[in-house]
Order: sequence, then structure tokens, then C-alpha cells
Amino acid sequence: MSEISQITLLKNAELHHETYKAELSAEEIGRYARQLVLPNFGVKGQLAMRNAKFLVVGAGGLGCSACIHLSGSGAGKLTIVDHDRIEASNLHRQIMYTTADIGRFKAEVLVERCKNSNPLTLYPPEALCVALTTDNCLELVRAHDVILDCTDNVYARYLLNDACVLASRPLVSASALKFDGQLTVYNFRDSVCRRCLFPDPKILQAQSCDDNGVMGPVPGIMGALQAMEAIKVAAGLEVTFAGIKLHYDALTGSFYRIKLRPRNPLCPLCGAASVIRTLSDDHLGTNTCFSRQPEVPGNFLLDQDSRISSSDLATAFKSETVPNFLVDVRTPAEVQICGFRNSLNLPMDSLLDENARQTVRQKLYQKLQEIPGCSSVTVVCRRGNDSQMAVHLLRKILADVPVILKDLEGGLYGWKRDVDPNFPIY
Amino acid sequence: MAVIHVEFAGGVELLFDNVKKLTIPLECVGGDTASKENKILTIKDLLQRLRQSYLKQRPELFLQGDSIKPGILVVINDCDWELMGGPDYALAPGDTVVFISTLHGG
Ligand SMILES: [Zn+2]
Repeated sequence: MSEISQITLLKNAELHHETYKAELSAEEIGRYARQLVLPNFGVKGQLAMRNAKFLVVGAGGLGCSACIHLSGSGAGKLTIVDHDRIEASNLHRQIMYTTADIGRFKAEVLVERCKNSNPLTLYPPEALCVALTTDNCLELVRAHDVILDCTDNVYARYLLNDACVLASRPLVSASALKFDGQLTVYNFRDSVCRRCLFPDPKILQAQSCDDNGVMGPVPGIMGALQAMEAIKVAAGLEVTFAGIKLHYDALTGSFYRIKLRPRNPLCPLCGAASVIRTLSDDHLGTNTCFSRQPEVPGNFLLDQDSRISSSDLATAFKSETVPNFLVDVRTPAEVQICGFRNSLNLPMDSLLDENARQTVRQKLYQKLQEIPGCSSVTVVCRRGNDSQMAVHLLRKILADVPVILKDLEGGLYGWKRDVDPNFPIY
Repeated sequence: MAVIHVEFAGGVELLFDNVKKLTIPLECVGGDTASKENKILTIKDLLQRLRQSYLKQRPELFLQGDSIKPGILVVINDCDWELMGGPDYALAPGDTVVFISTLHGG
């Protein structure tokens, strides 16, 4: 080495001309560059993300979108809970899954996709292909810092809410149905919990069901918003939607931003005199979907004599000895998808609506007159549940008419299973 | 003419023949008798007016007795009605009242 360069080296050392970097690897800096340069997030935010543990319950439309954003942003630990398997009807909205994934566990596949997207996270993401229950929920919540509710039913939503209050964890909650989405952060500092708004889940369970349909982009949008709020919680940024609820109506393009009440001092869970101290099904009701059962008193299930099997109906169609017509109680939108020709569409909602019963009666009378000698009516729905209740309701409406009312056992699903394997189901 | 704006979202509109927005003259909220007596009109009166004149399907999914059905959030000028006095909130000209169902799908 020449004398001159030795002198230069010495001088540089004296002037501390050496390099430095934040507590992030060169790879991490390269990967997170676009959020590292944001003054509100920066190195501090990135390190907070690396130290944060996120629990995502539900790997459906919301979960797909939320998880891929969280892992992409550098979530240190990500646990995904879902016991469902991927079905073809999920793919329009659950954007991390492909056709080849049908039949696999959602949580398992989503974890795979997150790992592929970002192998640099502090811990590898973890899949739990189990149902969330009163036995495992509290422990899971306690093991994480930020909880994301991406579930699709009232039971799981209240279970998570209760666990988050008992364990003092913020709950970033989103939901999506039809053209609408909602988002809020429960139990963060003084923001409300779910029970401050509506204390009893049992009343709500009667109204919600997974049969309602949803537009693909809506859960994706809401899940992305959810990830954003979860990142803000973890990074110590102001959490905009704590105490504020966002409602997105995709059909009209409206965004409602609602300032929520403060914590309810009388809340049975987070209030001063709380009565809910543990996770218990006594406070949560049921996790089964009974779409309309509570609205009709008593047991609405039909005995076997009042039901007709798919194969018997197929035989009856061929023989045509007994004039018979079909009443389809699905929604008009469902009727457009597939069904039986020449059936009369009387949607379940119209049978349950006192004000619509007169119209229903008139339509039935008219149809009965069109078919001379008609003495029997078969009620059809998608799966053979609503049709049983419809028979009860129609027996009341047609009390003075001598017709035999039966329902198609197993609905269109049964028809596909026993008569026509090529019939589409949805 | 003094009016209030009423909106339905999250599925509540289905009970109102799919109408999402209504403009109701304030004097109509109290029905025929109330307006002449200069009575203060509240959310309670609005619920009755909606039941009598606008609610088309399944009233039991919107009201439980005289009160709103649990699961439906009442929003007055972008605020949860609990912040505004609840059912006794006195309606003022130009108010916007939104009824939003809580969604549980995912
Ligand atoms: Zn509470």
C-alpha cells in the first residue's frame, strides 16, 4: 500500500467516515423502502411492525386481503385461524386462493401465500385450522397484540369481542354483506366494545345467515382498511376508527363515518358492574345459523308424510297422473339462476310478511284455477329448510282450500344428489 | 319548507321497498295533530311516522315495540343517537337521520 492511501485511510477513520443503518437488515430496507420513506411511519413504524403479533380470525374475503397486507408490511408474527376449506364459490372474493386450492384448508393456504409474499418476517406465519371456541379463544388473544375480526357470524364476533375485553386487546373489526361493508376498532383505549352497542348476540343471531351473497371487491376493500387500522395500532399512529364506524355502500358509492357513543357504563361486559367475566356459551348463544327459525314459534320441521323425495318427484313428473304444481320460495334473483319450469315464485319474505299474504293467496288461487283438478302443491327451496316452514305458512294461508301441501326434501341440493348430478348448485 | 332527510343502509332499505333516501317535511313527522300544537318532534315520533307511512315489509325487523330493533344503529347528523339524546332527540330542520343495520358477514 502506498504512503498516500495509508494517510487517507487514517484521516477517514479520524473523521468517523463509516456507514450506518437502522436496526433493519439490508434486505428489509430494500423490501420495505416505500413505507420506510414515509415520515409518519419510517424506521420506528417498521420496527414496531416487526415486534407486533397479529391474530387474524377468519381466512375468507376479509382475511385474505387483511393478511396479505399485514405480512407484506412486515408483521413480526401473524397467526391465522379458520377451520373452513376452500370452495369454488369462495374464489370470486377470496383473492389469495386459486382453482387448484379447492378442498384445502383456507388458513393453511393463506399462510403459504403470506410466506411466499414475504419470507423476511420475524416469525413464519402460522395456520390454525380449528374453530374458535370458548376453550381456545382467550389464550390465543392473550398471545397477540392486535386482533382482527374477519369472521362471518355473530357468535364468533361476540366471542372475539368478549375475549378482547377480558384480555385488554384492541379488536379491529370489519364485515361485508351484499354491497355493504363496515369497519371499526373496538376496545381501543376508551372506544366501545360490541356489547356497548348491542348487549345481546342472541337477538342478532336470528337475522344473519351466510346465504345472503356479497360482491367480490367489498370484503377485499374492507379487509385492506382493516389491515391499515391494525398497522396504525401497532405502529402507534392515531387510530382513526376507534370510536368511529365506517359504513361503505358500494351501490351508491357512499361512505358514512359515524361517531359512536362512549363506552357504556352499564355494558354487561366492559361496564363497571359487568356480569360477563368468562367466555361462555351462556352469553354467546349458538354458532349455528338458523336463518328464520326464531320468527316462527314452535318446531317447524315437517314429518315424513308431508315431504316428498327428489326421486318420487321425478317419478311424479313423468307419470303426470296427479296434477301438481311447484311453489318456489327462493328469492327472485335465485330463481333466475336455476330451478323448475312453470313453478310459482312466492319468496319466503312474502310468506312471512303479514301485509303480503293477501297477494300470495290471490296468486295461489289463480294458479290452482289454471290447473283443473290440481290437488297437490310441492314447495321447493335451495336446501329443504325454508320449504318446511313455507308449508306451515301456506297451510294457514290456504286453510279453506282442499290441497295437499308437501315440501321437496333436501331442496335443489337433494335433486342434484338423487336425480340430476348435472343440476347446478350455488 | 323545513324538511329532514332520512336514509337507510346495510339492508334496512329492503323493509322500505328498496328506498334508500327520503325527504320528509318536518311538520309531517308528527302526523296531523302534532304540527298545529307546535309540539317538539323527536326520533320517537319519526319512528311512528316511518311505521305508519313508509315501512313496507316486516315491521318486526325494524321495530321492537316502540323502539328500534337491536342491531340497527340510529345515526343523527353523523353521530350515534346515544350521543344526541336517543329517542328523545328533538328533530331540527335539515337533520339527517340514517338507519344502518350491523353487518356480520365476512
Ligand atoms: Zn362494552
